[in-house]
Amino acid sequence: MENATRFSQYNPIINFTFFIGAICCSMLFMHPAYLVASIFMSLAFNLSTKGLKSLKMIGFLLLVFAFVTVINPILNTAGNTVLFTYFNDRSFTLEALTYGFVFASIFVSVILWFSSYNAIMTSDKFVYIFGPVLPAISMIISMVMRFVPNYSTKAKQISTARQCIGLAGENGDKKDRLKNAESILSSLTSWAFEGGISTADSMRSRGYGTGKRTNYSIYRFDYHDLSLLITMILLLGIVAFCSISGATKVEYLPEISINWFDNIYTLVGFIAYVLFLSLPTILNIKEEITWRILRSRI
Amino acid sequence: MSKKSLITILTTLILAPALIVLTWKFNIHYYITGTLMVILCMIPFFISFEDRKPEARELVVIAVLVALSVASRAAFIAVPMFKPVIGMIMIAGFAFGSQAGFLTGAMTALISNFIFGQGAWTPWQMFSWGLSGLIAGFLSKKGLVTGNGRVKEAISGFLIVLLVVGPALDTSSVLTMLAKPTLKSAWPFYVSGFPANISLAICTVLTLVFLSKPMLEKLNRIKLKYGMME
Repeated sequence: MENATRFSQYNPIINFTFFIGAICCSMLFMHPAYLVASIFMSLAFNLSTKGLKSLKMIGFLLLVFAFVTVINPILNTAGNTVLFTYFNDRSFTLEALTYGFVFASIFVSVILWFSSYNAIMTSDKFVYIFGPVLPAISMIISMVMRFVPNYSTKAKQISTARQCIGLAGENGDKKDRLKNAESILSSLTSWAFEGGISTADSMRSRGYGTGKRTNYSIYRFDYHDLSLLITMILLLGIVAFCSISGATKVEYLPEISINWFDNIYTLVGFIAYVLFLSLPTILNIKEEITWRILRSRI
Repeated sequence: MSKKSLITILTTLILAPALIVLTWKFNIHYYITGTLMVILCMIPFFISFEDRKPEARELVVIAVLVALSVASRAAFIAVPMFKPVIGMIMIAGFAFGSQAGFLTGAMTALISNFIFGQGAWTPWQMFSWGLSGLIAGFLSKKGLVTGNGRVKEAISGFLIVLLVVGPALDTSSVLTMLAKPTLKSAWPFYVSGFPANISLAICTVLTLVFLSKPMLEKLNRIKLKYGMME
């Protein structure tokens, strides 16, 4: 496996919990220190998951950041500190610009989290998590993941067969090619349904739906997973408690007011937050270092 | 309806207003509220489907419909201008009714994003694509759209994309990018999304005009042959 980082080898429940926690927290907390933490940790995690490939995104991310920062003060004129006015008294305020920065940071860190999510949460992990809760839906997901490559192979076969008898319309005009595509889709559809029905009948005759559905999966939940899960829940608990006690209290409109680190809750909550977000990165780096050391000893 | 699903649906009914109160009291990012709302709206559909204990044939038919739609999205990956997927979902809705249409739409969005990449837009895409299948199923049940003509199908597809699918995705980008969205500050997003929505609407119309008749012939034959989903 190309992307077999340490974190991706944990149980899918761990992966999913972390991503849900990280993405929701990145969106909930608008405190500047928390925002900086989530941008840096999402970038660090993305680097540790995808390697140097993730640097390709940076140009795009900077563009998005600039766009979201600028679009907010242009569309929103609230705020007390007017930086300058344009177009007959439309004001460009410091507070709205700050809000632009805040939303741009949230947006960029969420893009980065999702980029790592897509590298780690494959469809089989998704099915593993939702299999017990939504058995029929998960069954459909795993069937579709099998059908899609199957259909594209079949479509190629049909197309080749039509070429052999001169019906592929390669040399024809647009209308011929369109007609060809339509015929391929039609026969693919019939074939897919006929095959699907016999699959269904075969499932039925083997007793589908008669008992409780069990799932086969290659994932285990061992004590590594348990200890990481408990750590994550504890850290999130601390973050939530501090946040309720006013750690992340910020106002940007109409005037900027922020609770800084002289507030004990802000400090403790911030440390817990950084620790939570950096957990998978730390695991990945630790694993990489151990591996290097082991290899160098050979 | 089983006790379990009754409880789930009642919980969603209580959670939805609670969410609004929470957002209003604490300064919660509007995207989170919006997305949770969208997810809450989808839960009853999935629960009622699970609750029915669908038979193997039903499952497979929906899986085939989803796979065909996903494949249609993936087949045109090289031509980003052409997106036949909403048309395919609507055809599924025309043939197999509202529930199958909704599931086909929502699942197509979810599963094709395993290939194209999940993102903040996934729940919104699932919901709006699901709605387009649901509306298609409703229209054909009411006899407003037969699926054998061309004009009515094309008009319904055009309107569904412009009024449901496009605005839903524009809303998702408004909520992710704007701090305090109001009608006044959000309209530029809907205007700038308009050309993309028009292009999607035209693709849907083309798909429906060219494919709805031959596809529905096949689907109806299958339905008749195996006596399904009546």
